[in-house]
Amino acid sequence: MRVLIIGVGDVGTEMARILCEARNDVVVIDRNGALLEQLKDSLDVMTVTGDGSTMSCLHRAGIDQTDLLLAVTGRSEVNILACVLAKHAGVAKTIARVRRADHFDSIAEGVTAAVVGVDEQIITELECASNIIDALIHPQVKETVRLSHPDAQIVNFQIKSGSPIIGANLANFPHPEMLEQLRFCAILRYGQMIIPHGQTTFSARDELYVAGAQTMIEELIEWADPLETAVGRVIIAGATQLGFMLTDMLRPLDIRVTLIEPDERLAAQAAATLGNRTLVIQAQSTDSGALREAGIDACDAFIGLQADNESNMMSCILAKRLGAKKVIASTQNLDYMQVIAGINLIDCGFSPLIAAINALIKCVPSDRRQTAAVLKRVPAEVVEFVVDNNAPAAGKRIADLKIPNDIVLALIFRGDDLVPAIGSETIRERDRVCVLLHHNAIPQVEKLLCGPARKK
Amino acid sequence: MNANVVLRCVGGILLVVGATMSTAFPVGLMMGDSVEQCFGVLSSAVITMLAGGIAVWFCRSTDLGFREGFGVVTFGWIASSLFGALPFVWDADLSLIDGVFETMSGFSTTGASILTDIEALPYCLLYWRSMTHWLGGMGIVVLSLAIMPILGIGGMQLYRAEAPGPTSDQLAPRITTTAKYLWGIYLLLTVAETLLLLPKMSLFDAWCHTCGTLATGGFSTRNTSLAFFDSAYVDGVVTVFMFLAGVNFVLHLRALRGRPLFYFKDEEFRAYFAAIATGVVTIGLFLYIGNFYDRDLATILRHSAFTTVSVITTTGFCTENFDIWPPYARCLLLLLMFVGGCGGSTGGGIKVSRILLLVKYAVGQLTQSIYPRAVANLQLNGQGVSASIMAKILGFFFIFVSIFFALTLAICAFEPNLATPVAGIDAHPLETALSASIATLGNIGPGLGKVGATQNFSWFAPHTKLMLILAMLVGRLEVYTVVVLFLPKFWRR
Repeated sequence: MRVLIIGVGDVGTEMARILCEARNDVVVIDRNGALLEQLKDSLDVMTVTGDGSTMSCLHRAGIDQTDLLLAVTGRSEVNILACVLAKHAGVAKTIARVRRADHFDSIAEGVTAAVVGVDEQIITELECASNIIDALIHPQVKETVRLSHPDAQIVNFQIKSGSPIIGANLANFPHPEMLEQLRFCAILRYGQMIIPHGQTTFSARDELYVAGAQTMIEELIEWADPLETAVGRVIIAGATQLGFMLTDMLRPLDIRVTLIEPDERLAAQAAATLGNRTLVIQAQSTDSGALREAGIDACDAFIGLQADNESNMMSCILAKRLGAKKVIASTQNLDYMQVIAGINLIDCGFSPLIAAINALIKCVPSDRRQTAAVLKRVPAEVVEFVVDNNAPAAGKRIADLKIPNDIVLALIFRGDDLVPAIGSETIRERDRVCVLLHHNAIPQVEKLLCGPARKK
Repeated sequence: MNANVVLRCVGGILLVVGATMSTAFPVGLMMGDSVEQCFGVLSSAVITMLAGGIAVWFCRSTDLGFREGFGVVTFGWIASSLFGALPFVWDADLSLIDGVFETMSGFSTTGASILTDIEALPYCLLYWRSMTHWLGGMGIVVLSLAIMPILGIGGMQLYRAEAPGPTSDQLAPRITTTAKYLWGIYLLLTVAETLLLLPKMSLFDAWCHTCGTLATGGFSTRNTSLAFFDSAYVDGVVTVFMFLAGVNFVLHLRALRGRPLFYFKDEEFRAYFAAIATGVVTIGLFLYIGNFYDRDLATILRHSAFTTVSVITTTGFCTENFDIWPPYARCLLLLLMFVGGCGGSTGGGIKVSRILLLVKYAVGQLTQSIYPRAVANLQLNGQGVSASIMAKILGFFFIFVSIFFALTLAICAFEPNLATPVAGIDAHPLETALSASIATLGNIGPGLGKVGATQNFSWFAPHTKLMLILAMLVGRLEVYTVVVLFLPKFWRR
């Protein structure tokens, strides 16, 4: 498949890497030639320097042979225009990354995205906001990954001190019936990833990656963390696009939001649009007096969504010190995701960029394997492989496969069933096996599960 | 540097070289060589493939960075020349240095020979000699990329480290597809020329000379090179195909896709064409004034066109001893040796596009000294050329010229036979040293004086040959790829 990617920021680069490794023909367009040169050093892609929202540039990039267009620059207008042009040039599928939900008419029959030529729009901020809400519902949840099976999830949650799970191991787990439906994939302990085996003991502050059906995972968390209370009050710092969307989405959940915004004009605008139910405070979020005024010691969560990454993280740390129960930071810098994971005072980190990448890869069709999510707390990916009948692994027990230690088979989707991929399970043809691994290991696992690469 | 992945890639290259070498065995037998004569070639091919196979089998790393890219290309070429020399050492009783010189001259498409009697070689060696040209012309590494995706290594680094020219055009999203396109055109041109030469020579001669032409190499199967055939038709066909081989292959692809006018829309092509036209006309004029060839215009045109194209494309085929031509002609030919073919062609030298950009840059500098606030506008084919590319070209030019003078100086200093006259010809030591230096560094082949059209490189002392071997490698891989390996920084982590 020939894929055209417009924009090689963090999102475009990551998508180019994923698509390239899946043996697609990838062409990338960007206005910044130096960025393209760098990309060319690491990936086998064709690069075109120019403006992706012009037909002349699209022609130079071979738009007439392109099957899929990903317009992922930081500017919605450019992305939408590129999709419109590409659709007219006959591209089968076009996907645009946009920043607002209201570019197109979603209510009445009118100018919908599909009518003008945008097959899918990835609303980055909306995706990110719903990820944050996933993590808000349970105070100990740090990351939730949704898979292609509608019920299946991989959840990262932290063990609080005093939890009954502390001291247990998989060999004598207090609730053996849970193990039949859940798979403990990995433990993140002091920033180190550990693959749990029968004798690994869980301890306080461990972060567990658990895969399974949503209801089972919730049951596990309820048992492991009985003291949790529903979230009622949230403080959001930053009246950004993401801040607005999150506030909007929290309202129907009966969660009271206090918004802090230093800029006078933005603060006034926020107060006007959000109405009386949301309290808007105009102050620096790194001002402890302002945080106290907002009720930081009584709130259930503090969410830093400001555009300035550094002061955002500072305000999060301050909020935790001042008594916020759970602190969430967002960042526009992918490298900061690992920094946030390393700061104990910040509970979870989110990035609209990762949300965009994860939403995009779900839209990219693939017959053999599909990347379900890129994790950033740990340098790993969740990839789903479809087992082929001539694959070496077909018909074998998982325990008999020679799989390196750092690759975790998490779940098997068998028709509508969800099966935890434990050692005694047999892999069958047409299973969809969900694997947690570093992207370097993908070719090796693909060979094992999907058989030798087919000639195109 | 990750030695494992370098070994793996070099192994892959050796497999390709070995497989090609093995075809010399049946070809030799068919042409009437005895089994004994061809045995060396067969065993060399087996050894080469074994060595390559072992490297590929035991080295499994596929983690290729751009440092490794330089390593793979340079060591790949060196290994190919070492193993490629085995048949010469075995079957023709050459010393190892002589064998490597001949092979490197073949792979780098130089065409300089240390053999005094070419026709005495068995057919299998003549064939292998020409095949080294053919493999080296489009690039051994690019070929390996095209046919060996099992190496599992993406290769923009490799491609850029080997492909000639200041910028590398990408024809398709994947580097392997690009490599396949290039080799496809190359193969097409090869078949076309072989067929066109058939009326005047045997299939064997046609094939060997075609390899020499399209790779812009210059090895012949005859002692007197193409003069042996003494046919205006042969000269014409070879001139046309040398010309085509010196053109950027991307233009050929565009032409095949139905846009032949693209040739003249390309600035580099126009400059290349203009340089050749100037050369042909002025050299012809001086030949006419100097009473050469009985002032027969057709003959003058034939020889001046052939020689000009042969030299600027860095092929180095000879029909006439241009060393006895007027000084203007010899000097112009020497200058054309520096120019070389177009970027993205099989020709050597500095490349037309680089010279073109250097001229534009110089004009821009002059403009800026009159209008200090003028904004520099450096373009090639309507596309802006970035300051970093221009800086690379300036650096390339400087290093190329420095190496040229250093090599000349070294030849003058260390070559004991430089001043001894050969076969009644005056030695002209300085001319010989200068032209031997550019003839190897620019991958041309013949030069002036004692390395002139009717001479060869056999009289050089072994240590000078070693220097010339290195010069051929440096010139073919366009300086940076080889020279960076000599920097201590390169080896530091």
